[in-house]
Amino acid sequence: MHNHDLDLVAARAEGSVSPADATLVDEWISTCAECSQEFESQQLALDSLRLVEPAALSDIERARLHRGVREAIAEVQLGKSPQAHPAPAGGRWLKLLAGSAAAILVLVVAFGVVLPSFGGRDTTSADLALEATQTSVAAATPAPSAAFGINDDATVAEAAADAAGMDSMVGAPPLLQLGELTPEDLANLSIPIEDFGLARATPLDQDEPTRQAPLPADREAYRQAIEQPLTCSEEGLSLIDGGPIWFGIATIDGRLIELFRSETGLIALEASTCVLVFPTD
Amino acid sequence: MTASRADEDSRLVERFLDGNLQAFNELMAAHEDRVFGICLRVMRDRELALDAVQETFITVYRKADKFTGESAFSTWLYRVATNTCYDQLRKNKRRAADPLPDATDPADPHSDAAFAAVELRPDLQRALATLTPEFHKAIVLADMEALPLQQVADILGVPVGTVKSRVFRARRQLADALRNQNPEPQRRNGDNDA
Repeated sequence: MHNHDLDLVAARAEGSVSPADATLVDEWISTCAECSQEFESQQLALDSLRLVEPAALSDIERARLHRGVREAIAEVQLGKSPQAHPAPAGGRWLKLLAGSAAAILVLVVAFGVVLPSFGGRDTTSADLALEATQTSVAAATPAPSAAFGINDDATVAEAAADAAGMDSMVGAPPLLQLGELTPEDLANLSIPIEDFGLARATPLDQDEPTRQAPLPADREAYRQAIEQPLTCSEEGLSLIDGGPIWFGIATIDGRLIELFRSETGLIALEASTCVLVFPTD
Repeated sequence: MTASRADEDSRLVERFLDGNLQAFNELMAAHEDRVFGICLRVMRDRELALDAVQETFITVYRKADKFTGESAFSTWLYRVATNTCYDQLRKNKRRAADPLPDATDPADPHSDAAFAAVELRPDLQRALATLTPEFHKAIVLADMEALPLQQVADILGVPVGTVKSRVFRARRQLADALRNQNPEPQRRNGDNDA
């Protein structure tokens, strides 16, 4: 068999010969033992390879990939040498996040209630859960019973589930999105912790029984919501002094921002890069 | 790779080089599954493949300014991915001829049934492992990822004729390896309709 015949044998095995020519090619192959053997080999290999389905990342692998790349990019931006280590599927704080999910939901909502009192912005265009909360709680600083009483849990759960369903390239979707803030709003958030009312009273302690109180009626939506970790939890937790007492998510100038508050202050990280955006100095 | 995808990639690369990180995210979203597919076929291990995909995109992030635009972005990206995968294989000393485990990796508890379906048949895995890296690359890109021969040639930096030859010979070796594992003929005798 001549080398130039290989293309024809390969093309016939691949199925790329036109039906009109296929009969002629088959005839030619059948007259040449070497060609027939090559054709069978090509076809056997191709038949086996065709059974292989395209590979795709699972949701968890995709999230790990995004997180790993984002962390490496942050290191590049900080001038460190990045290494490829996909982030673990769940770290200590992520487990804590999941374990204290009810508290997070409540605290985020509580944060949303307080927000309108700063910076003069009307946040009634924020997400539906907050809107519902704002209409049900008149005071800027909610009484604990009022905050827990937003059960209207179905509303919270639905909003959380909606948020959990959002596909964000920068990592896992947020628990709740608070709507559009401005940098001025962010600066105004750095206020005495006492003004956050319930937030201060609810430490992130897995053994704290009260956090089990506001479980939404829709437990499946709740479960889905709490399985979506913040994307910058490790960075936020390492940067904030004194440990966080709550987490929040907002958008500022169209950027997704993750907020971490401790007893002594607040920091904000851009979710896509986990770079500190507040305070800036 | 359609022209519209290539055009969109070019626009995204330009935006990224102008400092738009979202453009990088979009490039990644568009190609991460294909890059993972290439790396998985090369590494034969999902964890290692995931590492290699991550390293690939970090390299792209750091060296995007080296992309000249003479070829499609995807061609450049898959070249980076292929080189990264084989570099990591060498580093990990996980040669393609290493014996395969009897069982596949433990299932990801969060994955669905379709996820498991992408794993290769053990006999095919073993047969692929007998190929030299040059043949393996050619068959992964041309037959398993179904990339056009010209693009495979550009990725590997060899003429199209060389790719054709490598693919042909790789299939032949693959078939021999499959026959050696399964002495009974595997395929039906019918023709392959054009």
